[in-house]
Amino acid sequence: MGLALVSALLLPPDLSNAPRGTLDAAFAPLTIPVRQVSAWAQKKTGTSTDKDAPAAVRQDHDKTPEQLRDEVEALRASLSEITSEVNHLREENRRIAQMGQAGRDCRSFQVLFSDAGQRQSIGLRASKADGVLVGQAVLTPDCLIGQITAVGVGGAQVRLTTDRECSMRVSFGRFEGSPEEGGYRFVPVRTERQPISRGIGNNEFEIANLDLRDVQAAKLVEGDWVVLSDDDWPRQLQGYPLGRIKSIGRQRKAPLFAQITAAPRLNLSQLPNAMVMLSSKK
Amino acid sequence: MRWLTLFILAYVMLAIHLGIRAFITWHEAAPNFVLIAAVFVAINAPRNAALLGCFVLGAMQDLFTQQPLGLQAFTLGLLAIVIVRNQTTIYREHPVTHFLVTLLAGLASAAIILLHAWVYGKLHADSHLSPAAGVLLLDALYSALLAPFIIGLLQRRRRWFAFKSGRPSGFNLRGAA
Repeated sequence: MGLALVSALLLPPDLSNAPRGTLDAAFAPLTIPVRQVSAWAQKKTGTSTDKDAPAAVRQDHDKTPEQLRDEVEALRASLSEITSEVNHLREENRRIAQMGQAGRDCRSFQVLFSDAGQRQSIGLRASKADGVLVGQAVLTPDCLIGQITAVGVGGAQVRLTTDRECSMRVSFGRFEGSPEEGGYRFVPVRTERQPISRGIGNNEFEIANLDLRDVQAAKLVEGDWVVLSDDDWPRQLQGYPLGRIKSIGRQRKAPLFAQITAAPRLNLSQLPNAMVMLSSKK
Repeated sequence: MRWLTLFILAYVMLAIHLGIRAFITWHEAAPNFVLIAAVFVAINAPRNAALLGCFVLGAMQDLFTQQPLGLQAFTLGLLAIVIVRNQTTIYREHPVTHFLVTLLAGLASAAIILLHAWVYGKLHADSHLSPAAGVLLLDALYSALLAPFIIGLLQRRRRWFAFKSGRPSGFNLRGAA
């Protein structure tokens, strides 16, 4: 007990992480089905927070030509609804293509579990044998989700960008234009001071180091993108999105400073897979 | 006491905790299945077995979180000491007992975590551990609400664990010496 207390109080995080990632895979036979059933139940009950998550693609190879023709007719009927979706996907594709270099060295790993305590982290089914190392960036096609903090023979643990101990330099931007104007383009929004994001839990992070005047001058609004702009992270990831601004207000304790809350598009703790950028090390 | 059965319980409860936690959060609060398992062990097992069982449960939980190593082990170990001391005064079969003991254990756990965050912040200048007190309280309440169902179910299968009531005799840390 005494040893546990000393460890909890005095041990630096680097040493604390040393034994982690050793037993992760041993729990996979139960945690993976539990996560899958939970995700399914959440989808069925309509409580899923991942509104933008792409639907699974059905691959029915055994359909007859008549059935396929009927399906095409049904799809034509809903073409008007799909048009708006296509526009949205075009914007997505353009953004992914813009940041595609980051995806070249990535390898996808299954998520085994989310944090067992009050922190924001996930465990991956990855090990040193897969080339995963502490400090590597973890991302999805949507956003940067965190960094590897521990790797063992049985798994790797990722500290999410929404964790209280995770901070990084960022910048803002928004997509402007329309398909009629020749497509969307990402326009950076400059601020006087370099914004610093820090996780606040609950799948959110905040930027609290900008004064309100600076935010008003930059004309930041809800929905603007927060992207990585930190030299400590790999070059390929500069400009990679972290999330979108949810709210802008005054800080209670320092009213001259702005309180910007942002969130990734997906619930990072509920991801089924995540990609580790194997060539990157912060 | 059957340690293999206790180990299986620890494995299953921790796996459920790890797998389901992210999907059943309410205002960031989620039930702590490991705490519920620890309460079940602490109200039933002999003193030394309960202390060791809860400590190991906490240590296992520590391996799957970003919190400093040893925090959960210390917390559950300390809770086990308190619960075991009052073992003879509680009616371990009653759902209200399960609810109240889990609620009090959750609140005590929240207090320890908050105190730890404060002390840790003083000792490590670059630390930003500041868990929201409200979330910890909701965690405790959420766990307490589920406890009567889970502990009630486990109480029905109590004989699988072969707990020995009364003074500790089945397991003694000093016995090996």
